Amino acid sequence: MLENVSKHYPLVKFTALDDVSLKIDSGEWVFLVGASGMGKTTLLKLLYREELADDGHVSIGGKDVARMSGSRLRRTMGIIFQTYRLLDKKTAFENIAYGAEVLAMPPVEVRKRTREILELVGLDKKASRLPGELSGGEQQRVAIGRALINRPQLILADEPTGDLDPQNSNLVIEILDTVHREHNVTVLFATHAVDIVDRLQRRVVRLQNGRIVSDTVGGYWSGSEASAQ
Amino acid sequence: MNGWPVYYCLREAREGIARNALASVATIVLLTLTLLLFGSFLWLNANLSQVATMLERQVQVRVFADEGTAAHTLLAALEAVPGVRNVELLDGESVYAELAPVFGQETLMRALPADAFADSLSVELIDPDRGIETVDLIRAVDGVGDVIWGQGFATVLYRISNGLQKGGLVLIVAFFIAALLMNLTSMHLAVSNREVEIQIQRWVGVSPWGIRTQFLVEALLLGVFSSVLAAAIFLYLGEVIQGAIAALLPFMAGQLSSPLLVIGVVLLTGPILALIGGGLASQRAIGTGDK
Repeated sequence: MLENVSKHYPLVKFTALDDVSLKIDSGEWVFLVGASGMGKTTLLKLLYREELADDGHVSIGGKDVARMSGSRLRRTMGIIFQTYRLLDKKTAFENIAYGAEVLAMPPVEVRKRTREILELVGLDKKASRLPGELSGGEQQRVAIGRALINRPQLILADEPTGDLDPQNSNLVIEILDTVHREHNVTVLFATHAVDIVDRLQRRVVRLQNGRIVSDTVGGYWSGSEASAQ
Repeated sequence: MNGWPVYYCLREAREGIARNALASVATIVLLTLTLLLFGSFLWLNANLSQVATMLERQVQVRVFADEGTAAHTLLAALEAVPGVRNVELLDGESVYAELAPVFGQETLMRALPADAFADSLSVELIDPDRGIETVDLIRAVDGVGDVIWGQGFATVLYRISNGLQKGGLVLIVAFFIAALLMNLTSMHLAVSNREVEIQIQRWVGVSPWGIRTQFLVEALLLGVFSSVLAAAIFLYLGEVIQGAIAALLPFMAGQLSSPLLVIGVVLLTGPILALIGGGLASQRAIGTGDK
């Protein structure tokens, strides 16, 4: 939940978020839409505590993010970006497992979960491939797998389909939708992809110049004429 | 905890060292050299002090008479010096007689002049701790020429030891700084090469200290490897040097201290030095604040 949150970058004299309030219920899927530079990424960064709000409060599960340690907070989340950030010397299996290994999960559990995840993202046949041997879409699915291995309660996706063709974008959405429905995971999905938003018909929050200008359920353009709350 | 983090850290550290092979080798070489120098300094210093102390504790003083004075005429005067327990006359002929069976009379006669062995007096002191005063009193006796005493060597050895302490310390500090800088650079490279890993670890919720642990373990491995290498070289060289000293100066053979203590210090110093380097490099790159 964000309450009257503002974020300024004084060095470049830019206000990324201006008095933004947003409440997302547990298990909800919310699209964050808006042109580049409108504050989508900043809003996500405030949620995973990469940045701290200058004004207002950001809380998750009733806890003030500013008072939590970043590492403890991020253990409950899965963060996905447009860039895959895979380890090029590790296989798909090892890349996914890495997300759990670094949190000292026992090896048996890591292997079990990694196999499940590989199946979920449709890469069980390519588990031993290095990132360089996978397509862009497959690499993004490995990155999603890595974000999912610790069974997050919240997924923050920052334009994860930005570099993908429609077919791979659909696969990514299918994976996230499966996790969302089957495990009641909350998803906050920042995107420009009109077709994805239109197809899923979920809650759409539109940002413009750092402010929420509409918050509706429907397609990409739904509520685009609505005034700011 | 089930030991998995240690296994994981070691695996990642091994991969990191292999990936950063050249810098790792350079770190190991410099660290090993520094530790060798440090160990040699400690060992040499300890031995010089030990031999000097041994010589200082010697109670035998050899007194030679002035030209024109017969050694035996000094017997009574020396016995009267405070601090002297006993005085014995050693005539040159008896010394000659002792050496002749060893080297052969002909050889000695050919090699040395007829008066090579002057008469002398062996003086035993009561209290070696008051040796300087007693020897000064002996030197003041009329007719006394040279006075040879262990403490004379001891003073030289102390001087050498002091010189070593000053010069060696500067050298050691310089090497320590160089090793630390090399270690810092190597670890800085390791951290830079693993920017993606660090980022991933942050995203999944590893604390800054958790992230740093991997680099500290890597530094520790480099340190342990260097110290073991330095200790092995030192052990080998120590034996060779001890053998050489025993052959040259038999009286010192039993007096040299064992290098084992120094090896222990070297084994501890390497990892500590490496940990400092790893700690500083990872702190600069990763920090400790849990943002």
